[in-house]
Amino acid sequence: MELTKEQVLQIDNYISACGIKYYDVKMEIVDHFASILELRLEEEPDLDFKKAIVEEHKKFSNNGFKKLLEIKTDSVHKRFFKSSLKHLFSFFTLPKVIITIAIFLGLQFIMNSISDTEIFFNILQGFALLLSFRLLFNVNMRNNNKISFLSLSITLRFFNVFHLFTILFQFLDNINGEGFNNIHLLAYMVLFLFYWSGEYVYYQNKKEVQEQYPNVIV
Amino acid sequence: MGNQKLYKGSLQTIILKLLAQNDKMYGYEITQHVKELTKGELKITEGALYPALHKLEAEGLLDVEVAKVGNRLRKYYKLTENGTKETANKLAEMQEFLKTMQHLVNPKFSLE
Repeated sequence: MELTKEQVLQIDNYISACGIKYYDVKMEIVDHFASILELRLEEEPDLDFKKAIVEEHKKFSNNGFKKLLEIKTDSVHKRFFKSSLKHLFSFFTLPKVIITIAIFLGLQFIMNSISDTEIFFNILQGFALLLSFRLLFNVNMRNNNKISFLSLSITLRFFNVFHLFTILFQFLDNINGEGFNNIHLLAYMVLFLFYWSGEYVYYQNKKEVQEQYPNVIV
Repeated sequence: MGNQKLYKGSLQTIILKLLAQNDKMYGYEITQHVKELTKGELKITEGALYPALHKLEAEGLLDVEVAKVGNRLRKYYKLTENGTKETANKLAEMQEFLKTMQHLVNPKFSLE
């Protein structure tokens, strides 16, 4: 006896209330509960569905879903670092390396041509802040309305390191005041490169999730 | 029902062996298949099965496929190329282990 949409939703809500909010973890447990309850409904058509969900939860494990979530988080971490590293290496193609060097040389030329380097670095700082805001609104905020995936949430957390670096750079710029030089410029280039490659890795990971869950809006 | 603790260390091998015999399987199907094959002697708890599946997936031994079934999605597991190789290794290890145990508990008889 196939469960109705409402019954599946009931299981889904129960599992969410138990602390499993990530779709890639929850989906499998929902299916597991649904498979058991379908069989039980065949044997007992008058089954108290709500009560049956709680009973199956008790049978699941002594620790409920805690251990499952821990192991899943560990496994997603492992996979994330592996695939991120793979995507990161695929990002650094020859054209991108050439573009990066060209931008660095171009910026170095501008830096050496203008008399007040402080203004130049203020512009770079402003650009980093703009990217930081873009991340905040474009990636983080947009994802708040969508189904959350454990695999992507880890990518996002890692990606947020960019905000931290931007703030750190601002702080260092403020206390440094003088001494704007090539090393300073290189540090900004690494920051921008981090953003560029980070975004690439995020979208590649997202693509993988989309391929795995074609029916879900990621 | 036998001592479940004795089976605990063999869970990954059991999963890999089942997946080698069946193209793809989902979690609940694995528990039911094991129960059926062992005539209820071995019951894999869900709390042990899913963490084991996720570990195998993270190690690159299993691949996943998601399909819509009725009003819900179902996650199927299948062996990767590495998974197939690892299954053979684990089964050979298991055979060795069983032989050793046989010698230990009953030296007069052996599996050979």
